[in-house]
Amino acid sequence: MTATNLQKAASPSSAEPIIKAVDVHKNFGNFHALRGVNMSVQPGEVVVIIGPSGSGKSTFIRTINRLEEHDKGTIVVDGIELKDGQNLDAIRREVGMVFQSFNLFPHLTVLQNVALAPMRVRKTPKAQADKRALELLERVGIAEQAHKFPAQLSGGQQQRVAIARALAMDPKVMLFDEPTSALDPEMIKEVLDVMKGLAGSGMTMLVVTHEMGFAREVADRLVFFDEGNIVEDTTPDEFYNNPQHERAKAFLSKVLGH
Amino acid sequence: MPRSTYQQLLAVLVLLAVGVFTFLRVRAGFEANNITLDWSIFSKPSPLTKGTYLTTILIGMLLTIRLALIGIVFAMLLGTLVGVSRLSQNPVVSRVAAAYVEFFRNTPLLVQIFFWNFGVINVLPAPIKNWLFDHSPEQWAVIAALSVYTSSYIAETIRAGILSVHKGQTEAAKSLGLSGSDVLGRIVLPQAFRAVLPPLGSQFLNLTKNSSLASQIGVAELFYYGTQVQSYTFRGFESITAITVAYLVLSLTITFFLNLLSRRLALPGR
Amino acid sequence: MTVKPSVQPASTSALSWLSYLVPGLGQLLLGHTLLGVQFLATAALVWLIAWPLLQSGAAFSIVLALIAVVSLHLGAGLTAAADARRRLGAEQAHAAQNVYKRWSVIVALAVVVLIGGLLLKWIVTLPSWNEVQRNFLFLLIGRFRAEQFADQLWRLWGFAALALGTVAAFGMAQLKIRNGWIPLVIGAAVGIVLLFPTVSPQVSIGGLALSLILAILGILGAIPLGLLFGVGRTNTLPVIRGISVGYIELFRSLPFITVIFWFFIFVPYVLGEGTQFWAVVAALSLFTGAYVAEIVRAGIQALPSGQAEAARALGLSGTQTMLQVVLPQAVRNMIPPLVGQFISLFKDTSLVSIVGLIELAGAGRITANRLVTATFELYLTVALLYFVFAYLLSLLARRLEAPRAVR
Repeated sequence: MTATNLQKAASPSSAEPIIKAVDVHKNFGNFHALRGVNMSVQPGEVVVIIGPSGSGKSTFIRTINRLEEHDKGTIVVDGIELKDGQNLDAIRREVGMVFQSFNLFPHLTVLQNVALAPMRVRKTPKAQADKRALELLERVGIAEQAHKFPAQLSGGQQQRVAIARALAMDPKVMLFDEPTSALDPEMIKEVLDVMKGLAGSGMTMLVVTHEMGFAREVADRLVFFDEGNIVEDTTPDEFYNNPQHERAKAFLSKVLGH
Repeated sequence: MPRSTYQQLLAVLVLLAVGVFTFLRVRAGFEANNITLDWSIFSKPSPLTKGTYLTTILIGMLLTIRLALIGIVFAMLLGTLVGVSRLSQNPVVSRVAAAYVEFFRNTPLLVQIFFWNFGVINVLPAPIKNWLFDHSPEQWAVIAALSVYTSSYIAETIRAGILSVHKGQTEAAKSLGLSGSDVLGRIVLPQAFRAVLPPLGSQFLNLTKNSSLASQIGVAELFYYGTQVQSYTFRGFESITAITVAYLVLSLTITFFLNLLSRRLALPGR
Repeated sequence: MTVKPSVQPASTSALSWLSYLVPGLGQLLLGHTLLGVQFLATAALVWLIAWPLLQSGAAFSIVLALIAVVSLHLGAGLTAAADARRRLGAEQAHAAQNVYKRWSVIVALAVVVLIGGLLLKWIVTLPSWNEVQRNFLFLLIGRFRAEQFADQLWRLWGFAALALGTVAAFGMAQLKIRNGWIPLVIGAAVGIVLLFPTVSPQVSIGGLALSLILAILGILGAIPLGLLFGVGRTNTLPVIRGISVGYIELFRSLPFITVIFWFFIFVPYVLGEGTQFWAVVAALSLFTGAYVAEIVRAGIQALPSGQAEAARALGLSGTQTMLQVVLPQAVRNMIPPLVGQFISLFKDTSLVSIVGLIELAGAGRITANRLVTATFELYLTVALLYFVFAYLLSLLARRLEAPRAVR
């Protein structure tokens, strides 16, 4: 066995990567947000992305379901290349996304929030979609709130609904964009617990977060972004104990200093 | 006594003084001109319409309501079209929509009513003109003027409503794979509509009040019949009071229903 | 690694050719319903206008019609074809986007040129513009143009003072020079002193000039009323709040036309004979005052409540807090909506013609009744005169708003 084969065997699955980004660039006007990012993610992998604000980490995961269009390079998700055209909706069905500010639909009940996309996109019958939505709400622990409106829930509960809403489309990949940054400290744990459960079930996850504890506990890989590129790509423990890059060291001391 | 009581007492006294002064002057004026008040005129038969003078006022009110309802429907349709066009990616379309809004917002409604009634109808092709002359052209002119004028305000309201929906809502909907029309129809518009309901409601109210200008080209709505009652009976005070009460009733009813609607649409927890 | 093409390209590019013949058909068949409907509707409109033009024989009309028709069909066809190609890859998709952007602008421009050109040509060639020209001075200043007022005409320089004051104040605000209100007040004072004799004791001026004078006097009366009742509505004392709410809601529930009627009938009893002009000014002020009060209230309530609390904590009285801390800050938020309200007031002056003052709308009505034939031209001119002033003011309001939007 060669070294590369060994490495592959160590990851949860040795199939071809479910996400493969090659030389991805993105500009916002004069600001060069992504500067040639290369990354691949194996099915079932949990990747935590960290980095200072403005480093491009959020922009990068937003390019994966094409909320941002990349200017150069290729991104392939589950065998479909992201580019202009008709395959956009197909990708978005494969990729679920959880936002920092929840973005629940305020005019729909919790149940309707979760059941809407399966009914409209997959044309699932209402009864079936509602049943599945209730199961998912059960799984994130808020089935009893199903008929309330988002504004009646706490931040942590809203974020758990947002996770259930994304799961309702049976995605192959889940993207989390700072899912706990907008939450009060006492609510962070309930959301992280749901995410840990999800990781345990074998979901492929890309998580932008500053929660170091979460990273050490569940992440297979930890990726450090700085100035629009990946600076370190290693295991969480390795990153903690032995950060290679100056910027990573500085960042780590700041985060742990808090 | 605390200071606040003095202040309130002072306000009441000032109000009373103005009221009493006005009342005394008006009464003196009435006496000097031998004017007495006679509310019984409203139960006397009216030469203007069937029934009494009260019936005349009510018939006028009915036409006001009809003009307002038709005007609201057209103004909403036009206003939504123009408001969405203002957000068009196509710079020509959005500029034409902006020019429409600016022109009709910045000219008085009365002049627009004259313009439609005396100007546009005069230059229409003969067949349309002939049809109109058999179908109360003044009313059509008023409806055209009211809906075009109000649509320019509604367009701005709708545009602001669409812009007020948070960008994250569209992103969340898109990331679930919803189609463009579902994003607009199920996520953006229901929220935009809730956000603009109060300003939209006040536009409906304005339109209803503005329909009183139809009297100036002889459309027999509430204000027109009110002034006719005055000139038939020489009862200025009584007829203007009747008009005022009627408009107050209309305004308060509309406000009541709008409040009811916005309470029904209100989302719990906000 | 495979890239899944979602649609077969060959058949679709054939369908797209249909759009050259029937704009929108190709898009409809390709599944772009919205685009297809837009092109179809545009095509219906353009052909409806262009068909009679093409047969009319007039060179100008034929050229306009041809430009519109050709760009419509070309645009529909090219965008449909580009759209069909976009599935082939990223470059084609990008190109398709550009083709669509370019041609949607060209088609819209052609339609606007067609309709606008025809309308403009028709308006310019209307027969009675000379009648409007002959009466134009009457629209501007009413009876003031008559022989007997010739020695009074210099008073119109009052408008120059007003304009100068406004421009200076606006210029100083733009250049961030303080005390911009000084030229405004001086200009207004000089203007009012010069113009006052034209409306009192007898109203000798009319037309647009009278509309402007009424609007200025109206807003001068409305602002103190609005401040009084707007602040009153935010007061904690129930009686004062109740009176304010009563005033505001009463006047906002009524059409302006009924308010004028009330004042026109009763003010002469209260103030004596010959006060019709002031009755109208009072009506304008009280009516607009109710709307200004709402602007004042919104301005006050938009301030963070910490401001008032901090002032009270320093030991300032309620009145001091309002006058020295709250209002000075709220005024900045109130200025743009106030300019908007002034525009509404300027438009509302058109209604005073019903009680016999011959301002712009009244002058237009009188002239139209006399001429009978030139009504379209005349009312268009009157509308444009109102528009010029109201639009200039709304531009001003937007400029005053813009710096805050950036921050």
